[in-house]
Amino acid sequence: MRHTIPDRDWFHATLVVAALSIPGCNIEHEVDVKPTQHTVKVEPIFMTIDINLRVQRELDEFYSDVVGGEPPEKGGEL
Amino acid sequence: VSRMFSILTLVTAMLSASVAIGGEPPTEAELKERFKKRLAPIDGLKDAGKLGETTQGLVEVVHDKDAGESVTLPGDGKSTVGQLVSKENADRRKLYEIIGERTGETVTVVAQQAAIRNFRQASPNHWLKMRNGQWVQKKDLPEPK
Repeated sequence: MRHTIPDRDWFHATLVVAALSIPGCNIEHEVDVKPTQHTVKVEPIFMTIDINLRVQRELDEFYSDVVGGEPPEKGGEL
Repeated sequence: VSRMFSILTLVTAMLSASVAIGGEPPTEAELKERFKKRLAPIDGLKDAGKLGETTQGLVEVVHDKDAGESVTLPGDGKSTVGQLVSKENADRRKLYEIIGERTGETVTVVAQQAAIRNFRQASPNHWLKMRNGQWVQKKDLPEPK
């Protein structure tokens, strides 16, 4: 004996499956991604300053009586 | 006549008071003597890591807690580290003014030049204050190029 499903039932079954699957497909995932900003403040540690020979000489002369002076060198960094 | 005398006395008193308040600027010789007196205590405090040199040509307390520490000065008796630093810096500023006037440079330039000199002469263990306010021991600084 052969049992056949009527076309109408197939139609209804398809409709039910489709109706059930629609909400599943409609799931939305909202991920709020805020832009991340990293501010790195880099300050110069060194500053190259030219030696001012005249000022260095004055300082050397003054301090020579206090501690003993040294001849100025070329260039200097702070 | 008595009124004139009173006014004259008042003016004289005011002038004397203004000189006393302002004080005469120290001569170079006086500054040298003061620096000499403070040299040993300051060097000792630098060796102990309590004082360091700054890029402004001044001396500063490395850790604030040490400012109240007692220190003995030759001739001047006892003082605190903070008072010693204040006196030293006041005299350094006067010296920078004198050299600035003589060389035609600003006090800031003279102070920077003094800082170069102080940094160069610092011992490896001495503390130096960078422009960003960070204290660094001289031995930890990269060699100047």
